[in-house]
Amino acid sequence: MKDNFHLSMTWLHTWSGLVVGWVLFFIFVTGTAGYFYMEIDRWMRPEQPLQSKTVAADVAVAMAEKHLQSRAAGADSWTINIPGARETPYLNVSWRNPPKPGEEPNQGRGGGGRFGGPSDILDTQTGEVQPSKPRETGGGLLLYRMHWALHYMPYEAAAWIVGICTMFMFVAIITGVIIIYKKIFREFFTFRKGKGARSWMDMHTVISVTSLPFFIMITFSGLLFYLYTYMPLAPKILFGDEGAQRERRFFGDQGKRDGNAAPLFSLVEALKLGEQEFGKNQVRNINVQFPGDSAAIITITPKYDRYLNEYPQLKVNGTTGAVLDNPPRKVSAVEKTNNVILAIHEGVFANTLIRWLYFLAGVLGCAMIATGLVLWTVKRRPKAMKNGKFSFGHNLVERLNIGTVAGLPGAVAIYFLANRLIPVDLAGRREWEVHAMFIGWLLLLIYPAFRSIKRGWIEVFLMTAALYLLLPVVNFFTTERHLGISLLYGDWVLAGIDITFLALGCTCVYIAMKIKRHPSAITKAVKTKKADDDLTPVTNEVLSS
Amino acid sequence: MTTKSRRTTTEQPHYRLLVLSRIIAAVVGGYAFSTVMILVMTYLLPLSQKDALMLSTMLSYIIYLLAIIWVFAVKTVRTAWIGISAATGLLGALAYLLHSIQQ
Repeated sequence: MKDNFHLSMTWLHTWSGLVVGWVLFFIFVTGTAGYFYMEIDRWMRPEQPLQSKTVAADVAVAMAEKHLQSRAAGADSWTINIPGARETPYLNVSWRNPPKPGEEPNQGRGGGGRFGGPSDILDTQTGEVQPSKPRETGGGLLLYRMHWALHYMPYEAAAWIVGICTMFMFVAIITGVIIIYKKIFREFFTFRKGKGARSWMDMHTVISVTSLPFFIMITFSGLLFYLYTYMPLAPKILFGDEGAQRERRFFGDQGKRDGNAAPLFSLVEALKLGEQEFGKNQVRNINVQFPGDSAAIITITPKYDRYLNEYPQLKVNGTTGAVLDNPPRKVSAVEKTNNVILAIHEGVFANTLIRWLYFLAGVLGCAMIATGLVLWTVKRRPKAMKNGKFSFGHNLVERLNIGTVAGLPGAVAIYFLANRLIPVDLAGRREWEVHAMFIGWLLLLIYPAFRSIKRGWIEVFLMTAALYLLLPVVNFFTTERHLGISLLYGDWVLAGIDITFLALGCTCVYIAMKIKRHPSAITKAVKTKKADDDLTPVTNEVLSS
Repeated sequence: MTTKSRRTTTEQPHYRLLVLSRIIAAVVGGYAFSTVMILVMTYLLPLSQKDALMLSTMLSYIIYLLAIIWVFAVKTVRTAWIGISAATGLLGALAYLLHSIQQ
């Protein structure tokens, strides 16, 4: 398209990156936060107890069984969550009562709690019920969900928008590699400070190359999530309108009661069977269908992080303890490959350290997009100047950059602030937390239109910094889960989140100060040296008032 | 000599139209090419039909990517269109052939 392959790929890289850059930034921010969605969930429900103190699995199960026998003897199903896994911060029991006459029988395994039934959190030291009436909130899960479902639109529409943006990003990443691969090692160690567009290019390159395997994996695996949604024609042509094949996850037969009373097999023994099968401390929860009935079935599930989307379970006869035949689903090599790639995207197996590395890689991804967007404007500022003013298009990009790169993180902080500040009993508060976030983002997008570029960057970063630094403070005044308590008790999840807010706030202050002190970083442009550089020669411009 | 036989430089008239043409060739043409490639690979891969379809679809994104890059790498817009159409047509014919053989 251009005079040579390199220039064509540069053109393609620039435009595929720019056109969807802001949406991609949103996707990266929500995805990065999403690696800690369970932790954020807990932070946004401060009425829940602090993290359960560690206790041996068999002790926990014994306590839970005793509690369930007294509270839910006639239930259709029980579920015991064993604390110690990331998804089970508490000793949490739930149950499903038999349907009232005229009601639909319950579907699926029938765990209560999250699926609507009653539940209790037990203190692991005493076995007593801990009070927990969390406020209505979307939590971290809703923030994470925006990563693929966006918001304010039907699910399918979002899937397509995200998919198209992902494909654009795939093109951008690979063309990025193509244009840099010859100098990839040299460029990785090259960083020239204070040279305007050249410095931005170096920063963009270093950040992108540092986490390159992660970005390639994330982008490609992102496309795989909607394999047949994005490429539906082939299955349609091959199989007609039975449509693409969808994998269904079956939770097993609902089964029926016998009606004959029979003592329940000891759940502590069932746990032992589970640990024999999956390993010590590898059992995540125990589910009992029809406890006290002769048709009872006990299902033991291992920790989520061990298996790649394949959900093995051990099923045991609820009265005799005999292991039931429950062959794992046959999964072909191709399917396994698909599962592995998806699991790497989600980080399902990640322990704490790896999870933080994922988070760091996500932040680097946001930085890659941000530096790319800024680089585009810095390179073009001199050219875009006509009669001392920028063209509309250039201005638009400059302002969108400020409102998104500096503003979106601020909007996310507003989501968290809204969680603390919106009255607990307000109807629809869950949706209002989200509205607050997007209203905040809109305001932060509009604000730069009224400021010079340099001031816009500094001020929006400072506003975002203030919002994050306020969070632990607001937390202190509105809940019993602030840093003072979480650090004292040793609840590192809650403490970690407040500390991360402080760190984010400080980072934003640092960035704002850097911009303030070194105006040449954004405004000065530099002459090029080599003929094959794609930077055009520019003159010095001062673009801030 | 028509404008299409020259490189797509900004100085050319109809530059934006040429760029748009390439974009359509890449996005639509590339998509069609990838889809047809899925069909052919599903027939040819020595796997169960379900696995062949899944693997081909997974790979189709890479194929799509390569098609897009190719469309923007070639010298003229005309080459891009001819190339992507011919490739899609050929694979489509092959897919049809394989389909009728299997009956």
